Amino acid sequence: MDKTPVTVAVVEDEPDVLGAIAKVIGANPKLRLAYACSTAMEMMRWLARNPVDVLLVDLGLPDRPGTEVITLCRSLQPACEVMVLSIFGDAGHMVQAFEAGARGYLLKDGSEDELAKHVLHLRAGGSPMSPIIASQLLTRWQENSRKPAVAATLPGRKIDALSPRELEVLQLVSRGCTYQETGNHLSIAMTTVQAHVRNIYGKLDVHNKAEALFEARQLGLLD
Amino acid sequence: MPARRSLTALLCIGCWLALWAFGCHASPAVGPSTLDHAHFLLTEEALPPPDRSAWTEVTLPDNWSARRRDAQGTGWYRMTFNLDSVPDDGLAILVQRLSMNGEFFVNGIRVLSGGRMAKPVTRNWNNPLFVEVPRTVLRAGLNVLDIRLYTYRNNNGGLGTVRIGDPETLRAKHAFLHAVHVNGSIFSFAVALVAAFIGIVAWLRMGHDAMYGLFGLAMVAWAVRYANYFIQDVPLDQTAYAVVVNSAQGWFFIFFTQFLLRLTSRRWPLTERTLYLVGVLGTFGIYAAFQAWVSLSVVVGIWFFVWLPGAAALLVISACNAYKSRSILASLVAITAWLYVPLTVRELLITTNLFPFDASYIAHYVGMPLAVLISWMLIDRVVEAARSAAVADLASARAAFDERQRITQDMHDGLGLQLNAALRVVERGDIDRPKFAALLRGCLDELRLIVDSAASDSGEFLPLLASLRIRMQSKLESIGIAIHWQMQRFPDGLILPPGMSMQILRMVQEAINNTIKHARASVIDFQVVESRRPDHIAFVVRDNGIGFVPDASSTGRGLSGMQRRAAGVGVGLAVESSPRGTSIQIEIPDLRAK
Repeated sequence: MDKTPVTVAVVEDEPDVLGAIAKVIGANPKLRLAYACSTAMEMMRWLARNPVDVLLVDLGLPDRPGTEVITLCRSLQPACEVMVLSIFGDAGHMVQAFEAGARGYLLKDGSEDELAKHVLHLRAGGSPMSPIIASQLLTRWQENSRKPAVAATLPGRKIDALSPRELEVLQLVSRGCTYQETGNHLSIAMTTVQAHVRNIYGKLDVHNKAEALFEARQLGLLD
Repeated sequence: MPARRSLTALLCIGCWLALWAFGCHASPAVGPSTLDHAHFLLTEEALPPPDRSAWTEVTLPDNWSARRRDAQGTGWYRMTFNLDSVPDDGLAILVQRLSMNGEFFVNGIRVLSGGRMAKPVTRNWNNPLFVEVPRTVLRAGLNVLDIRLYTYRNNNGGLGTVRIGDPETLRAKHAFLHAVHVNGSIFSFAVALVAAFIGIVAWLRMGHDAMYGLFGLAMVAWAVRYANYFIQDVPLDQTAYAVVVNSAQGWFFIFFTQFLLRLTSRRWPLTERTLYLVGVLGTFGIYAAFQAWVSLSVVVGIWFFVWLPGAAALLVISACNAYKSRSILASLVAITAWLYVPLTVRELLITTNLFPFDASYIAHYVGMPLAVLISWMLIDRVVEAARSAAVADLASARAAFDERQRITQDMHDGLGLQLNAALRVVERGDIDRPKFAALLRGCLDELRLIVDSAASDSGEFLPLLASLRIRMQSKLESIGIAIHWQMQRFPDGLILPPGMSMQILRMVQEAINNTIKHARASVIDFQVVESRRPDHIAFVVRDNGIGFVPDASSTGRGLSGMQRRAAGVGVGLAVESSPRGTSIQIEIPDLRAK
């Protein structure tokens, strides 16, 4: 493992939360705060010029939706991991964030102490998935496989076919198993379960690089 | 039903026989006379050749593909007929079929030219030629009729039977034949284009589902075929044009068979690829036949591998579909399909000289109703899909509205009460900071339950409980409590009314909070157990702590609140406690649709 600290950028409009996050990152030798701001445009402009390892995005930003920042970051810096900050971690917003390319989430409920742990975990390949999100993905996958023609005409994204193993993982997670327990059930390592979850998120990520870059140019962020 | 079925079958057979007989009609009854013998000379001359040339005897119809396969270009036919006296209104000549183009000479004088006799030759193969010969050209006694014919090699060229007689009769006959051959084809061509348009629009509207595109392509193939029935001048290279139109019916079968397979939800990629392969091979084969590299029979043999499965698919699938669905539309499609296939096979036989040269191409008169019926069916589907989407939209809007109502209610019941409690604590001046923080955390927990419940589209219960477990996992771990999750036997697909779900989750949350606060436990078990009540599903939440004694301290544990919740939504609750641990057992009515 390399010794250089993981660089983190944060965009969050609540000053208290931003302060708490900056403090936690500052206190941890394994992390380094590269940039902090409170509007989407500032972060998008900064991302166009500066590489960073991890990006923390608040979904409820004042000027533009957080998902736009995520999409842009993913197309400009594919190596950067994106984590969303949310009060509730409600499934609707989470799935949107994952579709845009996020790979993790953190709840803004005073557990910022856990932030360091979560960021390092994300960097090491771990992506959390809640049972409700898993259950939603399963439902969506079932609908899509049953009537592809009709589903394609309805709003909402199409989800690529899931492998049988991925379906098993989703089912166990939606029934409340932790990654460790899921691994035990399927006789695979926990890291393998994590990899499956990442793949599933990857299939959600219908991110269109060209589109994102076009949008960025329109906004005058790249020149 | 059986009586109606046999009547339908009889009707079909009747129609089929009538059409077959009509199409076969080549020799006329009494009246005009038919010339079916002639002398033939293969020569490029533009004027009637002299008598002393090397004429050979032939019978009409004279099909070059059969009799002189490698020949191409101009040939002459000379026939004679006797007139007792020259009729006042002249004489009419009618040829039902000649290919590709011809000129008529009576007694050495040209009376009719079908158009260009050099490449690119005017295409009159499906256009019955008719001319009224004025009396000035005719003689009493022996008259000579010369027909100059231009033929393409391997293109079913030749001269059909020649009819001569009084103008009035033959004029009427010609008008009828022209309508059937030419005008009808124009109409079918138009219908095929409209059907192709419908197919393409449906393809766009149904998420680019290939099935609709295939129907559109099949109709384009038909349009090309039927255009050939009436187009006389083609601004294209003759060989290229001939390859395209002669392969059109084969390509129709290639596209239409795949359409039928997908319509009945069969994806056979191997079959589809084979069809395309044979199609490409056959199309090239037609080109090769025109260059006289291979014989026409070989090429027809190749196309057989498209026509045979195509015809079989059309017959079998339409019949099965009619039998299964018993709708009028499906029955009509089956009837037209079963009429169409023999007629189109017959046309293939005309091409291979197994059928009279003069026979008319009439399969499209059945093909067009088929195209119309299937277009109707596809339009139905598109409309239905749009309607379902609209209904689904409405249903989800309604559901969203109901959900908002429920959330408001929930927040009032759960969150409202808790916030009020917190407020009272503050206003009392009773600010015990840890206690106040705990109250606010309780509010956040409650809000999370509400948000989870709102986020779950299906209302399935297990993921909600699972979400609670995962949320509590790290907090419990950090204070030394492990969770044993043994809920494998909990059934899938149990959907509960949101009010019931919420109350059960609140009970579980309360139990866990109690364990944290009082029990000094190290393990919390979640386990499915045998239910005491019939048609109920039960699970326990159990800790291995020190337990409690009811009465004095039970108010602090909110037990009466739990009982009230359970009773309020019709859920069973049993609490047991001993120095070895505390458990709550929750009995949920099994509401899965049976």
